[in-house]
Amino acid sequence: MKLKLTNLARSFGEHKALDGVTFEVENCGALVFIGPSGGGKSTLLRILAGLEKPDSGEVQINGERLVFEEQRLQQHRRKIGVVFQGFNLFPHLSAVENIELPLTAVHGHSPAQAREVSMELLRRFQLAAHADKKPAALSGGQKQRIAIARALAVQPQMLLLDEPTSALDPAMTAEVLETIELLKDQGRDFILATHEMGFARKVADQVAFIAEGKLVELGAPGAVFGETALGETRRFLERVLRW
Amino acid sequence: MRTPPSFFFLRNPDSEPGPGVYFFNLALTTAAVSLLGVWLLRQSGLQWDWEAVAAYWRLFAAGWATTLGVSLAALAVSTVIGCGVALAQRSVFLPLRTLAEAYVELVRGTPLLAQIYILFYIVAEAVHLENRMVAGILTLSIFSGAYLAEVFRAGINSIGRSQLESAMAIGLTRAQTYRFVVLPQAVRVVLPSMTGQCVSLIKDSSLLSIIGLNELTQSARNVASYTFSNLESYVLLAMGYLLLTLPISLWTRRLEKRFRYET
Repeated sequence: MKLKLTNLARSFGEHKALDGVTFEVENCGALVFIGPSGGGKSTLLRILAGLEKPDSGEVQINGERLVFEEQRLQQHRRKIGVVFQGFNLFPHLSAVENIELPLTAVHGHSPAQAREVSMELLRRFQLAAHADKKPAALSGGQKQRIAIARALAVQPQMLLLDEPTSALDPAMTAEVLETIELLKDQGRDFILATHEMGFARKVADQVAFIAEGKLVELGAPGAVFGETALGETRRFLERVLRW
Repeated sequence: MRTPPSFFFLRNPDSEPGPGVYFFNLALTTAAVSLLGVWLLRQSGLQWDWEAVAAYWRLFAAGWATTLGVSLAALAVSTVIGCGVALAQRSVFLPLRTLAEAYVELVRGTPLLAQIYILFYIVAEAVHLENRMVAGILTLSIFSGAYLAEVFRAGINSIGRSQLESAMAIGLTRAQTYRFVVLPQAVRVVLPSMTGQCVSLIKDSSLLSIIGLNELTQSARNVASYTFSNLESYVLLAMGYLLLTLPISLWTRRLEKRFRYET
């Protein structure tokens, strides 16, 4: 998948969340956003997901310009899978119903088809035993993996993960990261914003370092995490990796 | 050390009494209240005459049925009004929003009694609506609709932003978001207050007697004036309303319990 951003900007009041981000990747693969909190990673992901409109600038996906009008955005969102930091499952629906809802309501599956697709995913994630549980009865790690399954079920053109492990303890973090690694092994394109530096380095095809609303550096993980990294990136990594 | 099971005390405010202990205590308090009642009646030295009142049981039954009918109809209409107004209060079209807000504040800020007079003698007169039953149902619906609108609005507002965002992210339309995400969750929040409003509505229907609608209160008044048995009539009146409201209250308690355990 080809991704091109041109001079993307978005402010919230005085705060410039994105301050002119421009980059182009020919083949997205596993693209990982790293950088300090409040640096613009989430805003960028939310714009790509069609949940936020930029003040200016342009997004092109596979050569097609994203039009930020409600009707067009709705079409766009249907081709995108989003995983949030806070899981955002629907608490009144069971695990399997959470995955089925977009399939039946948006993607025209019959209830039987939707059940089949959902159960297949739950089996693959080893969650089949929890299919009929409500989110309140599941652990954070299980919830997040179900959220990933819900995003994948619709076979999205692009999968966006916004700090999927930031609300989880280390064991659950490992559980979710393993699931994401599984996606990588299957050759699925995704964009991940994360604070898990070790994982970013291991799983990424490309790493983007984003800080203060700007793209500081974009490159192979070896370069961004290595000796040749720019000063700003190196200072950030030295600080977070020290502990 | 385990404390022995008690006939009178729960371990803490949230624990559940066993059915035996519960009914024992219920019977005990019922007996105590009855005794107090009997004592008060004796002290007051009143003479009861149920025979005169009993002769008019058909009037009571007819009044009770009217109250039930009016309440059910008003409940249905006010639910529709409440839903519409709750959505209108969230509208992006400002005139609709301000209209809905003005309606809610006007109705909630004035007594039902005044509303009944105004609607019956001015509005119904102006549009040539002469059917007292229909006028009564509409008045009660307009009154209750404002309260239900607030209940529904609170229900909709209780759905967090992240839920709406999630619905948006999976590509649901606005209507689908309400149908699949907002409503099923709001219903749980809203049901207890909604049934409470339903109990109020049944009791408030008694005020429709002032426009001469022959519902339960009006029937009781009529019987009282025919028989000079004021007390007997009003005791029957109270029991007639309890017969309608008590089942709803009990049902609400059960619902609240169920929802508490599910979340």
